[in-house]
Amino acid sequence: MQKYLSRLKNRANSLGNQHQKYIRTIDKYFDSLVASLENAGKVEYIHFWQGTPRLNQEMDVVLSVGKNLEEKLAFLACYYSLQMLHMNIRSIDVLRLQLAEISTLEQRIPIYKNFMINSGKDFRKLTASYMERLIGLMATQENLPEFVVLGVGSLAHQDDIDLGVIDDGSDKRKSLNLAMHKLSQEMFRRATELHFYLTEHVGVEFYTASIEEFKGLLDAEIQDFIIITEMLNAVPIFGSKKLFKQFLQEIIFRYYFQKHNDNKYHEAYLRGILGEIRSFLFRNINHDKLNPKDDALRMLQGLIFSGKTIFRIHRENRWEILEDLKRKDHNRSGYYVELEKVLSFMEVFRHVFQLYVGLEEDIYLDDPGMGDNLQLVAQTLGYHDIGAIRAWDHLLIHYHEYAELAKRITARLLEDVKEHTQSISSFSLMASQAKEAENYRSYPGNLAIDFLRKSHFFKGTKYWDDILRYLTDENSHLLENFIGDICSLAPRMRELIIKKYGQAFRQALYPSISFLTLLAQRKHQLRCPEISAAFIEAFMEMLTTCSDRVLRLTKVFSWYPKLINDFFMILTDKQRRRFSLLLEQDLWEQHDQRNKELLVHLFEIHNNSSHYFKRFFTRIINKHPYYINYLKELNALDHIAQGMLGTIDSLTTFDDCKNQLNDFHDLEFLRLGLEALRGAPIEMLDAEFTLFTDNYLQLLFDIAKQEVNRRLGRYFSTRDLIAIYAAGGHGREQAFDDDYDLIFMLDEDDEEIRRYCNKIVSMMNCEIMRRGAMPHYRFADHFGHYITLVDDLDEFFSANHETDFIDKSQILGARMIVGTRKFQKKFLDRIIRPHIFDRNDEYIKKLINEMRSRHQDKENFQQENIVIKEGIGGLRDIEFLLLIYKAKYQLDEPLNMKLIQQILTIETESKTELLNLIQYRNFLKQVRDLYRLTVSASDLIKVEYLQPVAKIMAYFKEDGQPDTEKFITEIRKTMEQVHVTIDKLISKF
Amino acid sequence: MSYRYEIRLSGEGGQGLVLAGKILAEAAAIYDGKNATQSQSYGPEARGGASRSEVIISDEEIDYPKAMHLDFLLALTQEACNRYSGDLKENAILLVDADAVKTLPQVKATIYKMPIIEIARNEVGRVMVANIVALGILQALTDIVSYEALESAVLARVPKGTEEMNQRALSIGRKYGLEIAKK
Repeated sequence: MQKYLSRLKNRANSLGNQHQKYIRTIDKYFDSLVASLENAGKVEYIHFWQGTPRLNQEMDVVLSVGKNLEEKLAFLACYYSLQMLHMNIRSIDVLRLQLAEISTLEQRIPIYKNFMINSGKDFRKLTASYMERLIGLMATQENLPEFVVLGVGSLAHQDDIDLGVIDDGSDKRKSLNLAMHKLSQEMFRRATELHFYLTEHVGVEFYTASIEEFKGLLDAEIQDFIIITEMLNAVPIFGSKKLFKQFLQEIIFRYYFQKHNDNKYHEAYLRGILGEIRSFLFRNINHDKLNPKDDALRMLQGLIFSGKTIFRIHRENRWEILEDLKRKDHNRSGYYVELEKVLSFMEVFRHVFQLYVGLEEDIYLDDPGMGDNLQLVAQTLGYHDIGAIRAWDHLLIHYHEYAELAKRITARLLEDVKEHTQSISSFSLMASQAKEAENYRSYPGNLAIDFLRKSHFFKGTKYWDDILRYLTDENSHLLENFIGDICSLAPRMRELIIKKYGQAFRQALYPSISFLTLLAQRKHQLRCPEISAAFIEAFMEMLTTCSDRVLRLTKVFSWYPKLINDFFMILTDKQRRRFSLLLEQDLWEQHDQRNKELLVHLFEIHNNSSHYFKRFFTRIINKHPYYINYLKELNALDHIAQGMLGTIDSLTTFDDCKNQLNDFHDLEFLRLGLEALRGAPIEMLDAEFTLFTDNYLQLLFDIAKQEVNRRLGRYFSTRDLIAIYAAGGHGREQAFDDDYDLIFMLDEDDEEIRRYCNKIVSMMNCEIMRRGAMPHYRFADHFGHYITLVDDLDEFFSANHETDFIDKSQILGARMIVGTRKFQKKFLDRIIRPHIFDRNDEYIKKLINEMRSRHQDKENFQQENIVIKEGIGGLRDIEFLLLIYKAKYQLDEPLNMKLIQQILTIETESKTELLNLIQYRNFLKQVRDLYRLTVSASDLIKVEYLQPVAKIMAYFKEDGQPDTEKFITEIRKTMEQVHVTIDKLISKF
Repeated sequence: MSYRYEIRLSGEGGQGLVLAGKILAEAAAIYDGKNATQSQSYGPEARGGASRSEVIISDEEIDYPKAMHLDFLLALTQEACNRYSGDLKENAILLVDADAVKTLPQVKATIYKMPIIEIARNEVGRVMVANIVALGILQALTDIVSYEALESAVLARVPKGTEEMNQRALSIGRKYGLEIAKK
């Protein structure tokens, strides 16, 4: 016998560590059990070395040889442990055998399914026999009430057994509870832990509950839907079948769909389960950790049980329910077939992993020895090494494929469940009655109060999308009527009702935030717009007492980034300050913490950015919410943008091309804006900004030209005839202007070509304006059309207007972004050289006069605010100085760093001043850019708003707070130095 | 004299507190031969991200298996500390993670602050074993289960291949526990 025992223990040692508990029990009691059986002459009745087909009889024999209660318990535990080990070892052997000659996953799936069904049945049979005998030992039949023990968990899972015990409510239930308590202790010590969640919260007793107690609990409120799911899963293990039948009829069946009847229980269950399914659907699969339950099984189980209640299926086993669903819901049978595959795969993976490795749900891939563990699981599931690819690699690939498939099926079937929920909802009638103005007049109550009252039953459920849909519907007046009814209440009552809604928001953050956002966006259409702020206040109040708010907000953010972005948009500065305090908490799970950091980052962007920046930010995030994930990985945003740019020419329609090009523009703006907010160097920002805007304008010109050609049905050759120049800030290669100064030049007086070019510009204009950047055409006003002819410009400058030096400055500072070298040469020869370079003394004199006349007025140094561009010592002065040098030395380069380098090589005597000037310019330009991005797109710097800029530019006091005073002094001092330096330099002219 | 010792391990989902509770209860019941029960957060509470595991250890029959007057509370998050410290008995023990719990409650209990998660990360090399480190500290501070029983229970629960790492975590936790117990 010892040889057999050693063999069994050896086999069991290859299984998970949890089997040590059984080995320990066998070691402790085996010898005395065998001795007692031998003494009684009954040893041959028992299957010691293989699984028994006669569990009940053999357990009775084992019990019969125990001399007292303690010995009976010990012998029974020993026998149970032996059978448990046999059961697990045998099940794996059978599985391996069945899979031995099968090569594809498709063929393995039905075997997995049968394996799981049989494993579940075997485990239930073993534990039921054991428990039934234990209860018999713990209490005498006469002392017990009528009761039934229900199994409510998944059948095969061996970590714990979920039970519910229904009793008849009689006085004898005390004895039953005592017996259940002892049974639970015994099972915990020597076999498998029991959980009584279904019944422990229901009535006065801990382990059992009566049907009346269930009614008392469930009649008024849905309570938590997890209890309901457990009830729907309930199977009698032993005890009174009559009582179970009564429980079915009086409690469980109320959650089934009933045509033409009140379906509020069914609706409440569905609202609960829909919220649960959705939360798992939007959960990202963790790449370092597998968790079959969270990755797929909870979603699938939710769908199966909602199907069970909708189609009134009286089965408990999930595979059996699926069989019925395929039949009863024939149109969706294809989805159920797929769902069954995922269920079988995930369940068998989870079960075999737990048998071999441990009972934990989380499988950390970088745990020591996990590769070997998974290899064993993979081989048991029929996988083999193929070349260098190990079996467990194949298994993991399938795991991820099936997890994704689970999400796809869930997303599809979820829509049908939602539709069903809406169709049976008790809110539908209320909503439809109130959404039409005319019907509403006859609405008898107050919508806001009625809704609150009605929703009390559904407390704790998270799915309210259908109500949101009604509220969002622009053709409906439901929102107006709802808010109107709140406004009609007396102030104290109104306050109370809003507070109540605030408390209700706790249960369902997503619908709450959606509602608040909708309300704020539409507040001006409502009777009392101030109600929006009151609701937000109530929401914030609730959040302050909600201990898991950070995790929950993070989850809503990771599922609905656009919603959270919209929500941040509606908050006032004061609300934002309050909200920022609510996010101060770290999260345990790495991916949650990463998402939380992103959420905080998004919040900070909203908190510290101007409308100018938000305009671009919101546009791209609304269109591509997923990009929020890259807000902290700007390289990734860069790669996406380059990918967009690189694939534009493979798109076939104008609309597709322009949409992608516009996205490229916005994304690049966003990326560089974020770089700037991180304090990136100004030279880098200017260079990259210029590159992307040049690319944008060049490609926009190309696609607009192609589209005009297509529409006209002919092709115009414009080579060497057309050029687009960027003037203003973009011409000077500076980032973050809010407009594009463009000069569209044409060297051809043919009217048809001019009209053709005009069409191209109009098309470009339209797109540029949609980016929120206003295009200006320098000479459009003067000549009456977008296009400027070279001849017209020549004629214009030949007239020698007194103030034409401003226009000449634009031309001189312009940079060609579309056009040929031939055109540039012609432009230089016809316009720049004769009108500016050849008359540079006159041009320089006018510029110097202009500067000096402005410098007469030193008032802005005393001004409270700073005029950073046009003020004395501002950026405009530096620009003028560069134009002066450019004109003086007749240099080709636009007003960029290359030009400055050229000037430095010529003006060697002024090198120090010029180098200083570059530093001053970079400093002032960075102040200006950051002010535009954080405060406002204005060149008038209001000093009281400079704090965020000072922070980014690292002006801090000793206590770590931004040192705005010092920063302002530095700006003023720099402008003064610019002024002095420029005065000194122009005095040489 | 008989005793009933109530322990609550609390924090966030994923911190392995349910597993820690099971290990502790099994150490007491299976390996030390005491009476023990274990229960855990379930239902919406568990879905919400909070995690709680309760263990009651007694030398007598445990009549009511829910913890009400705590002798020992482990709090790995500020929220858990805020929520449960009110359930502590006088002269009980409150063990908190020093980095996660910044604000300590006003309770008549002995409070120990230990950087449990940091210890797991830096000394064992794996943050996921913070639960086992905490069990080591708990054992040293309370002696409510024997170290040998706890170690056996750990080994009988953890996934194959991770036994040595978890043993190290338990031992390091105990070392820190003994150090702070001396002070």
